[in-house]
Amino acid sequence: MEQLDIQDLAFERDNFELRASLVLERGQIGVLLGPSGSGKTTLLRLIAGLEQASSGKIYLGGRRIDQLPPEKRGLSFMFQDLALFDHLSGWNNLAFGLRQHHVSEQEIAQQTRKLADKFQIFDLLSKKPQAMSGGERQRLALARALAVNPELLLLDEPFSSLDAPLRRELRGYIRLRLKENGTTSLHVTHDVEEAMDLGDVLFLMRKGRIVAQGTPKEICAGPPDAWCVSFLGLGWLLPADSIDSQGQTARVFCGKQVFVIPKNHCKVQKDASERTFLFCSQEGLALQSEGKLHDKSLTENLPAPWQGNLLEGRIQRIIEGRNRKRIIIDTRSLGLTGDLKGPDGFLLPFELTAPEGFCGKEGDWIGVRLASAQCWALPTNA
Amino acid sequence: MRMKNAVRLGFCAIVLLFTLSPLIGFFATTSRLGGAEKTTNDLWQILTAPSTFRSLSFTLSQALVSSVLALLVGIPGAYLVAKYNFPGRRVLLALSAVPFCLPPVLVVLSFVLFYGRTGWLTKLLTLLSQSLGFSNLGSTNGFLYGFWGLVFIHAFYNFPIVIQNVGKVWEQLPQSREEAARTLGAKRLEAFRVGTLPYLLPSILQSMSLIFLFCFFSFTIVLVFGSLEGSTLEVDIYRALSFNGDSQKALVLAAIQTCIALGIAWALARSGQGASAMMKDYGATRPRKRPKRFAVLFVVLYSAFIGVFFIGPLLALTLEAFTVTDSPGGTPRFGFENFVRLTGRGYFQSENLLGLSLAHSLTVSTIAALLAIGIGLTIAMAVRRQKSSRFSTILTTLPMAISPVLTAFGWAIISGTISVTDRNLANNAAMILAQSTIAWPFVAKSVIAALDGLGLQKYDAARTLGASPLKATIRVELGEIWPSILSAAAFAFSMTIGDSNIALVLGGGQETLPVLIYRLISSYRFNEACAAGLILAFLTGIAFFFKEKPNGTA
Repeated sequence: MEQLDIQDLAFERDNFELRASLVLERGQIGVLLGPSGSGKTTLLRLIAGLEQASSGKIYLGGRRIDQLPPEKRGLSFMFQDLALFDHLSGWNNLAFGLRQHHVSEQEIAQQTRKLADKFQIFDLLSKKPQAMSGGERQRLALARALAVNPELLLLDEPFSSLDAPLRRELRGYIRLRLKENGTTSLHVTHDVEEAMDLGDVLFLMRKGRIVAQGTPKEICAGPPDAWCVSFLGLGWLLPADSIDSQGQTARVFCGKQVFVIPKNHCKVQKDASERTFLFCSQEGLALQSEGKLHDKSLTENLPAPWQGNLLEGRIQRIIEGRNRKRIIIDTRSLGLTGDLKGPDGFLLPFELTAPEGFCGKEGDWIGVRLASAQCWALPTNA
Repeated sequence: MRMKNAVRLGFCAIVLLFTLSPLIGFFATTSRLGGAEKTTNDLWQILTAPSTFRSLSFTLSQALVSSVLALLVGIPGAYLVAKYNFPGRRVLLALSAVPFCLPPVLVVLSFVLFYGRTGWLTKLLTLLSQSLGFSNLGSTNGFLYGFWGLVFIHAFYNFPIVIQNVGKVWEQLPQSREEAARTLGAKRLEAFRVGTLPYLLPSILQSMSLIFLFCFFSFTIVLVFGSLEGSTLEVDIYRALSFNGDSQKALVLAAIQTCIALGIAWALARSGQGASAMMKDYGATRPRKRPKRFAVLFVVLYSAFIGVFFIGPLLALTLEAFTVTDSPGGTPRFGFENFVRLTGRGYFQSENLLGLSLAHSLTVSTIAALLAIGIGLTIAMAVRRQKSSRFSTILTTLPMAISPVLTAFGWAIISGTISVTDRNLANNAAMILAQSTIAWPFVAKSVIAALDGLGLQKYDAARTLGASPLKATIRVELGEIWPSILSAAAFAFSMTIGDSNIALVLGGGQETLPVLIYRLISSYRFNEACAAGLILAFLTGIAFFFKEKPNGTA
């Protein structure tokens, strides 16, 4: 059942323009993902009524809310800086929303205790926010937002100021609590790992538009364009010079190399004026030994999907990971021609995980095969 | 390191002693004046006398009402400069130098010219009523010469402090708390009460206590406007010593005044720390918007209000400086005769009053300002690496609790003891020392704020690149904050050259420009007073010119 339904929402300010439509089911955790300035926070603020849209409709639980003031929309907002009231104790922060909804003091006491128990923040109730640690403040802010039992919880990068381990811990904690409560929520982040970890549905935003949406799996399996691949770090992107279709396959020319992909993996319009890229997902990459680089037996009898589509390059760096080594290949050694910058303007990265027993060293030449079934020809921006 | 700290603290102690010495000198001497030691009974009688109570209650009530009124005028301005970009925003912010740099004697003059019985406002109202065909819309009817006139002047003289202090915090305060309250169900007013007001309160209290302190020590303005309904402790101390020779009364009043002022200074220091804590807590804030609809109306009305009631008197002063009447009751015309007369080429006097007082003012003020800059800068460098800001706050706030009148008398006593033969030299020395005592805390505060903003990283970077501590300080830190130092120096100069309180108290010897203006006002030579005032305003205007820009350039 649809809980949040946004229809043709439009907003303009200075040189920025936002257009968005999205649907979120009851109990789902949606994630708005995108780079800075893509309009994620603005969209969240429009839903909350903290900014006024120029047109469009917002329905929450079947009720139209876009004309209502923030306090009447039936939602909660967890801010980036948490926005805890520093002069109020933990208890009063928690009880604030309930008091605004004219809940009796007896019931406030009961509900506050219940929440404090659930969120394990009993010890914080007498403290002021400034006397709490980062994690404690996060838990209090989440409990405060959920205290009013909102129909929708909006979270604006609440973990951005925390260090990585605490961020991971709180991510799990918040997901658990939201699922327990069955609260529908929309979360803003620019952290891909966080988005994949937390979201049931992802909405990928760029320049005020939602450019891709779906479950994390769906988005990873069929990215609409090279920009999404680059932003999400899904695999390799090679600048393509031209594409030639023959029967059920298409040939993609990248410098001196030719790659064969299924024809239905070609998402580029025939008359496209933009740059096109060959995309190969991480799963489609396999290391191919060359000369005496390392034990040939590891890769010489590759299964069919990896036949052909070979790319040769020199190892620039080997990063020793906890479980696996990661190999960084020198982009300029790959024999690619033209602009080697990706859709985001940065030099294209070529990185893959080394197979077990890999013994190559920095400066060695290696071959990498790209599985046809995992390759797509994509435009820069869909 | 311990040795360095000891040197630093020792220096601070010397400066503190320098600042407190006029007070010590004053109390030590006045308690022995009159040839007999005071008994506790004598002092108790003065303390409980109705006149003491009257003076105290008048001082406190006028300071309280003035500061509340200044808040009422200043807070809407603080909101506008914090939230909107509009033409004149920077002018509003620059006005914050007015209470420190615009000499009180010019305030007196400009307010008399604008709000007086035959002032510009009355003329404007008459003109308006004639053109609209109404009977007279009214006149200001000399309301200046009473309690409400006094608090009105104080409020309009000091409200820019509120705009500066509260506006700065308001601008840096993120809206998220207010917005969080709204999304949790609070209406606008409740959201403001819980999400904004508690964060603004320290800066409001800071502004209020600073204005209260200024009004508490108000001297020249009270001397002119408040005398019919009462006078402040500051004026009564001056009268007791200068005219009545009543050192006992002066001693008691000074003791009461100092105790109260210390209490207010403590409140000022506490609220100041609170206000800066509020500013340190937050990162990115929402940018200022261009006003639309109601906000445009609000900006226009507020600017018009400030333009008429605050800029109006200053404009009147400028116009009157160039207004010449050839005979009493004659038609006024524009000319430079008021300036010419002051140089001794007119028919009133042959002495070049303007030249002499200007030269004297420039000499005394430049020396006093240099002394204040030296002390302020050294204090700022000495306290900057202290872990707690409490020490520097106390050190720079405490001198503000010392009355300018007591400082002047105290230094006069000390310099008179040192140089008994040359009264003129003693007088000038007392004036220089007293003015620098008043001005150095402002220099130190300004430089400390600039150094705090700079942080220690650049100094440390210079040290790791091979610079000695002295070189790192001079070449890197002082090089980076020179706009603030220049601004502080201009501020100190404006304060000292515009000072009329100390100059009036010390009297005698060669007169300064503010004293000349005061004398011209007393003899009803308003147009010439305006001419001299315009020159003084130009000199104190240096502080406005060098006032730090938001990007840190001077």
